[in-house]
Amino acid sequence: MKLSLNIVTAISLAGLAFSNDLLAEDVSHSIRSAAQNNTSNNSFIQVGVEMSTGSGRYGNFDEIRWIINGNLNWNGFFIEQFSDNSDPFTEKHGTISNPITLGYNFSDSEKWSFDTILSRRHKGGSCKVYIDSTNSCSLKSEGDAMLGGRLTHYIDNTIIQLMLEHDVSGNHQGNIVSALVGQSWQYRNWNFHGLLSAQYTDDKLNNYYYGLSENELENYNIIDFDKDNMRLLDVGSGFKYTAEIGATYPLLEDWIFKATARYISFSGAVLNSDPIIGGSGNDFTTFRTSISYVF
Amino acid sequence: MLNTKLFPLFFILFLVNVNAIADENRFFNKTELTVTPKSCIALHKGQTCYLEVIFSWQAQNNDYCLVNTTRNQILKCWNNTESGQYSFDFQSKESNNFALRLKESNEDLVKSQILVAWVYKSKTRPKSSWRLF
Repeated sequence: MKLSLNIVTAISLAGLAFSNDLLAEDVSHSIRSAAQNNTSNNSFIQVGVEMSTGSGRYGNFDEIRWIINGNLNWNGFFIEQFSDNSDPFTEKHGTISNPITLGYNFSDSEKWSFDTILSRRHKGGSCKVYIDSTNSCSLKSEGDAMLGGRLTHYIDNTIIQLMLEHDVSGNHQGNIVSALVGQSWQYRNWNFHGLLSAQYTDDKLNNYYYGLSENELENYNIIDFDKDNMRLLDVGSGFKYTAEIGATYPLLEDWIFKATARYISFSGAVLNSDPIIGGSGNDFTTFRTSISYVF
Repeated sequence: MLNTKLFPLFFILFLVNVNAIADENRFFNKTELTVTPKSCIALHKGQTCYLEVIFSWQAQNNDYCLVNTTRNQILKCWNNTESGQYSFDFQSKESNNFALRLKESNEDLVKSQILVAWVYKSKTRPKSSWRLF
């Protein structure tokens, strides 16, 4: 009897200790969560693994890769990156679809937010002049530095965003104008979103990254250049249209699952300006799923 | 060689021991209230969190009620029972406390809690869902 009592007591104490550990962990986490809320700081970093598949101008692709999303802010200054926005199709043309953005938030009210932002939209390094039809290159583009403003308007679960950026690096002095409309829904713990956007790039930017200027033709003395392998002289301005739907689900307190489907369409001569990159068609489709840990 | 005359004595001792163990179980038959699962996770702070939970309780035979003490709301009552289960579709923006009470009593016999937590702890808007460029 004494033995069985001891066993029961020991098990009870062990269970009590275990449940107290769990309770302590819950309480500490709740306190930590509450403390974070009181600072009204929306900084976060999330690291994950993404599987994506897509099809478009350059054929099909399947990819598994690391993604890092984050927003760190201090007294209005912020640095952000959303690498699950990266797009292998447009990156093939030297566009950085997930740039690290530095910024300052001037205003963040219930309905409106305005940021000034600085980011590199094009990494440069793409070949502008080929020696011949091989991959030999005699002139490469340089990266840019786009400085601009981002105005965001919130109406319940709808977001409208306008962005104007200008190159301050001096390399092309071009402009980008972007507009986005988004809507989010919650069904139980699932969060759904839909986005429509249009992005305009002017002829200065497009001619620098995807075309050739008269100066470049003269400076590099490519009069005898094989016309069939030459970039367009005047690419002109162009649009990029994007539609996306997605769903996000909190798996655990620090883990999320996300799935998105995205359709991108280009208008203008941008995609057709470089014969070496090749391909045909202006549309791209990507499907992504990811699991991320949120710090 | 085992003395068969001792068998009745062993039998009596066995019965006594069984009885003692039963008494012991009754002694330790404490009032319990558990809820499974215990945590509800929403994506953003301020969102309603949804969770299908099951409450299980046991106590000495009596009339009991399961009460949401956060909202001061009776979820279910049982009469002349020593255990019970209750399935519940939890929906809340905050953690809720629950208790088992004797019917017509405001004293909490045993308590439990469903914690609401969020992946993104800030109430500000989810930028990650909106970035395309």
